[in-house]
Amino acid sequence: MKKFGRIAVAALVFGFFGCSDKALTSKSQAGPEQVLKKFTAFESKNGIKNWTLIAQEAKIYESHKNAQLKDFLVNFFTDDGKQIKAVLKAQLGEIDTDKNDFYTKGPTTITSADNTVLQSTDLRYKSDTKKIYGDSYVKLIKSDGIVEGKGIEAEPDLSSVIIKESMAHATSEGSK
Amino acid sequence: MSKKNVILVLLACITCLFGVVFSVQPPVAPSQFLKADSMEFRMKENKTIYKNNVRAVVGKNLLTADYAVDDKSSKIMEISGNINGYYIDETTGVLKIKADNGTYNSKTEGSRFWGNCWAVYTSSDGRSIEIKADSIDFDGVTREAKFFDNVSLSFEKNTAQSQFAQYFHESKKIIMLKEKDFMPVMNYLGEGEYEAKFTAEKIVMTPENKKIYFENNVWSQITRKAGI
Repeated sequence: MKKFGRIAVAALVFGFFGCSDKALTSKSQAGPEQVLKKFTAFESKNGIKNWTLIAQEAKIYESHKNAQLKDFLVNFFTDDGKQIKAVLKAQLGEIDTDKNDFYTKGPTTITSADNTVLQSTDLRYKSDTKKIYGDSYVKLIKSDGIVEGKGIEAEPDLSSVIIKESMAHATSEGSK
Repeated sequence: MSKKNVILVLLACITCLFGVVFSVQPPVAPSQFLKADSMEFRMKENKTIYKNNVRAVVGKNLLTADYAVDDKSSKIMEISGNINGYYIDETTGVLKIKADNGTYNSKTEGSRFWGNCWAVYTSSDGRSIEIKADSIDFDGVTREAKFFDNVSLSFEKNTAQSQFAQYFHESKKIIMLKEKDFMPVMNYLGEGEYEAKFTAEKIVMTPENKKIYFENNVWSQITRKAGI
């Protein structure tokens, strides 16, 4: 739980596959405490959704406040929590259930409501700043061009994106 | 030019400058890209901010600067810090331009540069024209350029100073006019034993024809060079 109880995270189990039969002291030494199908987590403030995370599979390491995610997406919502303003998708990742930070491993895409697409790998979302960060190659596909670079700091809805070591290429207007 | 396209905005800026002043048409660009240490896209403000080592390459055109802000709403791009423009054409020559600050309005296709403005064009046969001014305005439509305040020109054995000068693309003329009670001055330093100084309310130069015209209140002074 976040400080002051303003943000809540919940894991909803739609299918239960199993759990470990021993208490775990380290996730590297043993398997997960639980393996969940259709894992869902969310962050909200004053009852308004900020984002929801849906994973096809999650390995829960509850003692470490961590869950390993597989085939997951995150819907980021508008300020009123009624509309999706961007969707993040990744094959692998993990979530820090204590801080509400989550990380992607491998190829990751973020698609905003205006169809701007960000492609990268190994991104991290920090709940305290509510921004997405990355240090690896990044490609931003906009309606008027493509920008490539290495390193990113962005709002989840891509309303503000800072790309480091960046190079922009023009594309035909409206081609994207 | 796509007015929504950042790269082409910079391209237009470069080609505007080069085309206006020196009548050099850009070739078809084989490559186009814009680089910077950091690009910040502010979708809500409709602005893009380029920071550090900003470099726009379009074919053989190159523009570098420290910082640029492209406001897609106002259609104005602000550029600052060590602005350097290069245009290379094997058949005509090389142009370099420097300034501290600049703006480009993609709606009017006008550019303005100020702060230590300096431009030099070196033709393929080795001749060069150097122009300095406090500020320079370029009109991308008429392809005319205006040079304001503390304008100085240097070409071959001539130097000239004025407070205002204008380049006319069609006629390939540079005209210096009396401004702020300052009469344009032309200095000629030949290889012979004499040197000459001319002032007039209007001085017209046609570098391609190697001719200079003086109009209204013309005054000349021809003196023997010092030490001869």
